Amino acid sequence: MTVLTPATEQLDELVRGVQGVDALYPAGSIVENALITAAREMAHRPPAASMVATEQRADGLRVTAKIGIGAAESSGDVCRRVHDAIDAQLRQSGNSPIAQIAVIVARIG
Amino acid sequence: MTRSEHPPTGERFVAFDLNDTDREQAGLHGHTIEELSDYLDRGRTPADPSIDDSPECEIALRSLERLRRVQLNLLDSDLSRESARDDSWVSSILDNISREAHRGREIPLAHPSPTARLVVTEGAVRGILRETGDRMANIIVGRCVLVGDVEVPGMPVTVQVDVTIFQGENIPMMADRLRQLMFAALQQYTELVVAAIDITVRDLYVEPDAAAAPKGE
Repeated sequence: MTVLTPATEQLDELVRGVQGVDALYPAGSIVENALITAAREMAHRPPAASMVATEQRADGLRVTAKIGIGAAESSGDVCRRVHDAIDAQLRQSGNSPIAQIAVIVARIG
Repeated sequence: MTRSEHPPTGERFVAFDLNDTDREQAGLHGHTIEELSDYLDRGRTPADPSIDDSPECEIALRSLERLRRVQLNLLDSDLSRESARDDSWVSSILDNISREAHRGREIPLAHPSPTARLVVTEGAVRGILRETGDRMANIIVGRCVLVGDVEVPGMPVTVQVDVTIFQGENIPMMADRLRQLMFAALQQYTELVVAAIDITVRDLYVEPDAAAAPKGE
C-alpha cells in the first residue's frame, strides 16, 4: 500500500477557508518554528507558508491545526467544522489511516 | 517568586518575574511584555513573524492596546493631576496581561470522532474574558484566573476576576453585568461547567483630589 502524505499547503488553504476561521498559526513547536524561520532567513527565503502540521507515525497520520476565530463565532462549532473539513480531505485523497486530527483554538476575537 | 496557577489568597494582584523562567519566556514566544509594547510603539513595523505568528503575542498586544486607550482616556480627564496619581496599577495589569496570554492548559471541546482532539487554550479564554471586561465602560480587569480542572470535561470550574471600578459607579450592578457577560462568553467559547464567577473589586479609581476640588468651584 502506498502511503501518501498530504500537502500541508493544501491543508492550510482548506483550514483558512472554513467559516469562522480568521487566523491560522504555525502548529509546530516553538523550537521547530524558530529553526524553520532561522533557516529560511539565512537562505534569504520568505517565511515558511505551511501552518498545519502533519506527522506520520506508526499508528497513522497526525494532523494539527492552530487557529484564531472571530468573536462572533463559537469555538466548538468552528473547531468541528475545521476537523470535519480536514477529515473529509484526507479521506478523499486516500491518505494513510488517520490517528488524530487536532484543532486548537489559540485566539478568540 | 514561586508562581502557581492560583495566586495566594489575599494577594492583591498576581505578578511574576518576567525573567524568571524559560517557561514564561516561551509563553510569549520568547518575547517580554516590554518588547511587545515597543513593537506597538513602532506600529508593528518592521513586521516580526515571531510576534505576528504567535496567538499568545496577539492576545497580549490586543490587551496592551486596550489598556493604552484606557490610560489615554484617564490622561485626558485627569491631565492636570497626573503627577499626583499612583500608576502602580498599570504595571500590575501589564504583569497579568503577560501571564494570562500564555497558552496555559487545553480546554477540551466535544466531537464524536475518536480521532478528534479539539481544544481551546486557556490563554485564549482568559484573553476573551479580559476583552469582555474591557469592553465595559469604567471598569478595568486586573486579573482573570480559571480555577479547577479545566482539562476534564464536566468538572466544575470557577472564574476569579479582580477589577478596578471607577468612582461613582454602582458596584453591585457593574459586577452583575460583568458576570453576565463573562458567563455568556464562557458559554459561547467553551464547554466548561461554570460553577461560579467570583468578581472582586480590588480598587476604586478615584480622582486624586476630587474631594478637595469639587465641581463648580
